[in-house]
Amino acid sequence: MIAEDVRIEAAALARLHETSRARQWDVSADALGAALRVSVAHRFAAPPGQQDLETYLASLHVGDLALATACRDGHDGAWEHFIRELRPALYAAARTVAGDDGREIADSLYAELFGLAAPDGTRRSLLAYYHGRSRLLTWLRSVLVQRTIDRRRQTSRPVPLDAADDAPARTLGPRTDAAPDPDRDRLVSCAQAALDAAIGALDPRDRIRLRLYYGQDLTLARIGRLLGESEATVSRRLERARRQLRAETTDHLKREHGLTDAAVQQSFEYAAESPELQLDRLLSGTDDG
Amino acid sequence: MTDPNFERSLRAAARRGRPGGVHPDVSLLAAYVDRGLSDTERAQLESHVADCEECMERLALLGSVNVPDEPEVPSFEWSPRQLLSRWGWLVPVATVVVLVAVWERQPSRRDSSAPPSPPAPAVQKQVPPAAEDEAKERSLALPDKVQREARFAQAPERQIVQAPKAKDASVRPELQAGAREGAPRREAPLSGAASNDKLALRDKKEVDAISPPPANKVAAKAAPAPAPQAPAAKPIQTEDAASVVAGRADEAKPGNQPKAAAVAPMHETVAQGALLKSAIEAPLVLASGPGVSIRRTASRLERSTDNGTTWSVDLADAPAGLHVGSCPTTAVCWLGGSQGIVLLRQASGSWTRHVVADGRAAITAIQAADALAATVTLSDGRRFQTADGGVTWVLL
Repeated sequence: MIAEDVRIEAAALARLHETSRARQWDVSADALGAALRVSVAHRFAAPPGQQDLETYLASLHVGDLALATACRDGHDGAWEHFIRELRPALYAAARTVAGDDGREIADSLYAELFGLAAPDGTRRSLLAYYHGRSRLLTWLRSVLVQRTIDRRRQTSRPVPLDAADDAPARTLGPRTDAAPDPDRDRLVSCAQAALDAAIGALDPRDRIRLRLYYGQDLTLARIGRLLGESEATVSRRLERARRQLRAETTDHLKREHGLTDAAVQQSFEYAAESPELQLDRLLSGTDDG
Repeated sequence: MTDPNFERSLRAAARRGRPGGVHPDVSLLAAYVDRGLSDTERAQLESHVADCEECMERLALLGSVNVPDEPEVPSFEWSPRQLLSRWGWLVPVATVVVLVAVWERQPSRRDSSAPPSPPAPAVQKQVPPAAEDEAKERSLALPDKVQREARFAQAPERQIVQAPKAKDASVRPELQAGAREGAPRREAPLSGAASNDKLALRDKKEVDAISPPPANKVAAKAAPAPAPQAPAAKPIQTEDAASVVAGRADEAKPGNQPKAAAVAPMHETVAQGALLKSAIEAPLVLASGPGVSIRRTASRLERSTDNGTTWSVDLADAPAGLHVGSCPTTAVCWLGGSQGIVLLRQASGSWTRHVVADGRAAITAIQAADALAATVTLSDGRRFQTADGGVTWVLL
């Protein structure tokens, strides 16, 4: 659907224009209406029903959308407000996610928010892609995060395998002194496959909690903030998922691979020590889900 | 019992994602964090993010920078302890104001043309630069005697006006934007067909804009940030802070000062109490919907169908602690509060009261589809759903 297909009633538009306080940024009802139509077109694949449209419009952060529209149009007062209220938070977020590079990333982003001059002399601001579905600050942080990840990927260099070969072998606890277990690779593979399958069977929200906590090392409080849950709830559900994973993985290893309790324990120990096999599985394209 | 080997295996497994797939755009991820997605969109996004390494990284980074802008869900049960902890600072301030006023009104002081009396430190600290500037302007316009009296009379009132601003400073842009109160908790209950719930994909244009190729990036860097000059420490004047204590802002107007200052000190204390009471009873918009808003003023629920221009009492004796709500239609409204209380306004205009679960946890969010179906989130994270107008609730 394109923005021109969206019809917003004049009364609804007038109400949104009023509540958004767009006038303080000299944003006309027509200009706000255009931004709203773009937002609706971005959200819905086909023209929504009246009720859906009203609900959607009511859910938008129209005040921030009006501000973004004004900034996009180069309103001085709106930019003053942006600089005073949002840019410090943007810089702070950049420092958090990118350290010393943060300022450079934020400045680059800020330039694009202000608008880069096109060859024909017009300015195209990144704010045109803000649709009011979140607070403007959250959207800015989201863009910043995306930029930071893009930058990391551009600047990270692949480590040559030769260099890895030259690195001293890792010491892996007590088993380094023992004779190599000929069954080790099989046990590792079984454990990882069982674990991946069990994780894949979890509810998506449980998986997110698990990956944020174990995979991204986020604190319970931050996970809770992201998911709209209390810290205690996150903790309780994580513990429940962990118990479930343990039980299902153990059951799977016993049932499918005929492992004994001792062998299950051994397989977890090997899997914990053998991150290198993940690369093997990735390269072979194995999908355990 | 914790098994270290299993924990380590789990940690390694949790870092593994399945590469590929179409990623949600930055707007969608931001809307997810701000609870702005419909249930269908949220489920689609979570289903993707749960297995996508890149999106998980984006979400984790967003989680690390998205500092809490919204306060903890407050309990609005006005116990004496809460009142004291919230407004207790007024006691020493009011005491100082009264003492200084008495001292200032002594005849010897009144006739004296000595320099201005020593200001009350506590009072001065509370007055922000904007208020100081206004006070200076007033002092130029008012006679000396009125100046002195006005100085003492205005300070506490301005503190009360400013107090909500300080508390809500972090969410001020949201309020200034005129969005509904409780906006961060909103989850638009979009009832659109699943086929119409598109998971906004990063189309080519948007991908190019949000994640431009290196060449663009170089160009972006080359272009100097044409930063408009920020005004030098210009105080932020918001009508919102004043509107929180609507009806009292006019009491701080210069023209009202001499009248307020003319009352005796004891009466000033009484006036402080009245101000405190009115501050506590400040209207709080609980829910807005298509063409309707519901607000709480003291123990009353008031309703407006003309975009807040006029309000009529809809329920005279509402329970305390209501702080969230959802109006799926103009006539129907669901409100939630502490101790699991849910109030439902039927299409007929009558209100019914229900309690979710054991009534110990507060309602932190409420989404309603109509007069029968609603979902609430409790402060302990549990979510309950009703399909019979709040009579029975099912744990989700």
